[in-house]
Amino acid sequence: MARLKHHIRNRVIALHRVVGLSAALFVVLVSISGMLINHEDGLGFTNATIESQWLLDWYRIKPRGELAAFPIGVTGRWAIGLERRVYVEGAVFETDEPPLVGATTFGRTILLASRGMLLLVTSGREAELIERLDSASLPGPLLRLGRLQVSDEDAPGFVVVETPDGVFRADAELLTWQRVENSTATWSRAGDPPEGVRAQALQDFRGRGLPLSRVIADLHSGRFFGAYGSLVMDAAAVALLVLSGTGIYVARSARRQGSSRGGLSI
Amino acid sequence: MVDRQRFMNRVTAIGLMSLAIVLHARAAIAMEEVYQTSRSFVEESFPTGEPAVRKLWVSGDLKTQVRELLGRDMGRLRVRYWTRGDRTAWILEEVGKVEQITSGVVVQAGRIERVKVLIYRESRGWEVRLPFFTDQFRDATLDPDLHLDRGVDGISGATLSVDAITRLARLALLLDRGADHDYGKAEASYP
Repeated sequence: MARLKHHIRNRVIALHRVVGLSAALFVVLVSISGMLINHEDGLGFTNATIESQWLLDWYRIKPRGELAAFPIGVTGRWAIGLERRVYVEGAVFETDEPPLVGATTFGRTILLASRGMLLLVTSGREAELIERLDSASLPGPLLRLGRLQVSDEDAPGFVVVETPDGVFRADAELLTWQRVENSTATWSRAGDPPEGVRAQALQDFRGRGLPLSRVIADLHSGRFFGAYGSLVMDAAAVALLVLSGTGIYVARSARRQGSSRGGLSI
Repeated sequence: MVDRQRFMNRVTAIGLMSLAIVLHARAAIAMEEVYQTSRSFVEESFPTGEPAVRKLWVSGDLKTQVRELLGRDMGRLRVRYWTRGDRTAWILEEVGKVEQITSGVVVQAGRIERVKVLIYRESRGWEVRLPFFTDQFRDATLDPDLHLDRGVDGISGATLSVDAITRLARLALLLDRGADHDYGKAEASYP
């Protein structure tokens, strides 16, 4: 019986050693990434994004769906829609859903329309969000955005939108909408932006598309290494439990041996 | 031999348990859940008649107070609200952990009448939409330090979402106060 126990103990020690060495790298990775996740708010990881090209390529970060581009009135500026984001010269705004369906100006305000949202943005050098109008403030899902010019060319005219229920005109404050029959509106039309504008928007999208917190979480879970990465990390987690079990077994076994020899007894 | 068998059984059991724990702990996928549209929320909040639409500029003292309350700027220059009598309705957004939570808040005579989560986008913490949580805000007012006049019980595992909804409730009360007392520039327009 004593020989069997000795044999088992040796096998457990060997198992402990092999499992420990095998899991060491993963345990280090899980431990460090776990600590980073615990303190990600304090370290500012939540809002930080990755700009490293190879990491963006590794994640295959690219917009789903087509790029939608609209010239913003006669300002020479472009609104670029990528997924739920709209880029206006480096400034980015979130809409409810793609695609961007129009962009125009009204006085000193830029209007950006998606199906369920109308964004009002300042037309200064650095565009700033004034307000987001959602379903509670719109006459319906937006299909097109345009301007209705009045006879006085100096007057700003009206903002008009087309919905499945018809064309609606906003008041001067953009607070209420009124149905318009026989509209002669000038509708915002999609166009082909200059290559530099398109490339910058794509770069901005990629830069904002990969949060640092996601990379750390993926390293922690193993998903960073692909489909089998998480299974490897699962195995490392199991290895940790095995190490705990074998460690406790060896410790108790050593204590018993010490006790039977008249040595350590707790 | 029996001891060895017992040991192997224990190792196997530990392995299976750990696998179950790991599988259970896999991160949930974040999904957008729309519980109610903002249009429907506004219509429901004014059953006695159509409200007037107004907009409130977040500027001056109001901007400072909003920054103090949120710990950052609001991210927009003005807010639209709906009002009828002494009641106002606000559609506001605040980040829980990484995604925005869209909520509707109705304020009547400076007290919260109703808080409703309209769109939830986080992967965890959706329990904040349940009435047992949102009902806690009923009748709450804002004290001079811009905090609610009562404590709000949290939800285990949804701390950040609870904090976000609490901030939105405080923000709605602050904005309601601004609209009533002209902290900012309230503009009215009627059809």
